[in-house]
Amino acid sequence: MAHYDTYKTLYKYIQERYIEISRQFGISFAYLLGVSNINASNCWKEGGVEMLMWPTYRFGWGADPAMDMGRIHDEINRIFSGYRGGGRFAAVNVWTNEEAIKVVAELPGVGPDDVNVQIEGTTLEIGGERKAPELGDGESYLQQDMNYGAFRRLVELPYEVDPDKVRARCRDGVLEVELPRSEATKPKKIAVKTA
Amino acid sequence: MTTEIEKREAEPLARISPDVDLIDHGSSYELRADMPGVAPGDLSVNTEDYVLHLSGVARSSSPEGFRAARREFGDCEYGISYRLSQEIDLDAIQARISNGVLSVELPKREKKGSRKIEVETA
Repeated sequence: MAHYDTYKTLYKYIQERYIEISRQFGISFAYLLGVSNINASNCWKEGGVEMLMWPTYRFGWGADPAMDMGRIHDEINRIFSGYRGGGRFAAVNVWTNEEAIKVVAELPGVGPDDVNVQIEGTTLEIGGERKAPELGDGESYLQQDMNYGAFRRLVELPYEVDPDKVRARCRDGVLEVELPRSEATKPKKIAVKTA
Repeated sequence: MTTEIEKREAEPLARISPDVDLIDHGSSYELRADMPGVAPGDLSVNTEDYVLHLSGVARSSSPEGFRAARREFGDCEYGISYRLSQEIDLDAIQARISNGVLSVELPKREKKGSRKIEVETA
């Protein structure tokens, strides 16, 4: 029974990772893996999996199947982290229309003072550092999934923007950058006269 | 007549287990979970016996009049549950969220009548 539960949890976990990857790379990547019909709502319809773990695992997990799951979890994370292109940190959405571009980046744990936004030509650079909590004597990590340190993402913009009108703000660990199109590159409407 | 956006809002959200750091501070544990885009009001932290449930909804609604040129993340529900050790003082658990990182403080109960026993050499 314990084995069955472990494999069920593992299977759910892999499905979930596929979703994350297909979310980041578009459905074509999921097709390559032969999991085209997987989507989030399918996977969680059965009530969802709860990852149950003991915070005190360093004192021994013994017969708890979650112990093995923890290891498998780490292993799968490591295997898949290579597929994340520019690293899993700072996932980016880009929205455009004729007038402006909006770039939205996930930056958990990064405040306004820790992030730099720069524009050079049609390249937007989002860089900065996610600072790790400082631990004192007798304090230690029991589990660490989060990535700390410097990060950098480059986003190619579809047209030139007016650097003076760019606005950026951070809220709830999400950075939003609004980039209005430069007047010079805006499409101009030419009135057609009748002869 | 429901609009496309309303239809999509009604669909179940993708469930994602967040990245979690667990720190032993000595007198307490601290559980940190990455939940970017989750406002304090969209967060729920509760305990059921010795199981701690964390969940938060992140909605980054698509801006009106824009089309997606690149989509690396979408709306989702972060959710994870932990079975807590009996040494945790359930009544003293505290949670806060800052910059999209949820931090839950899990104070350890003071051990009653515990003492170290010296081992003597014969």
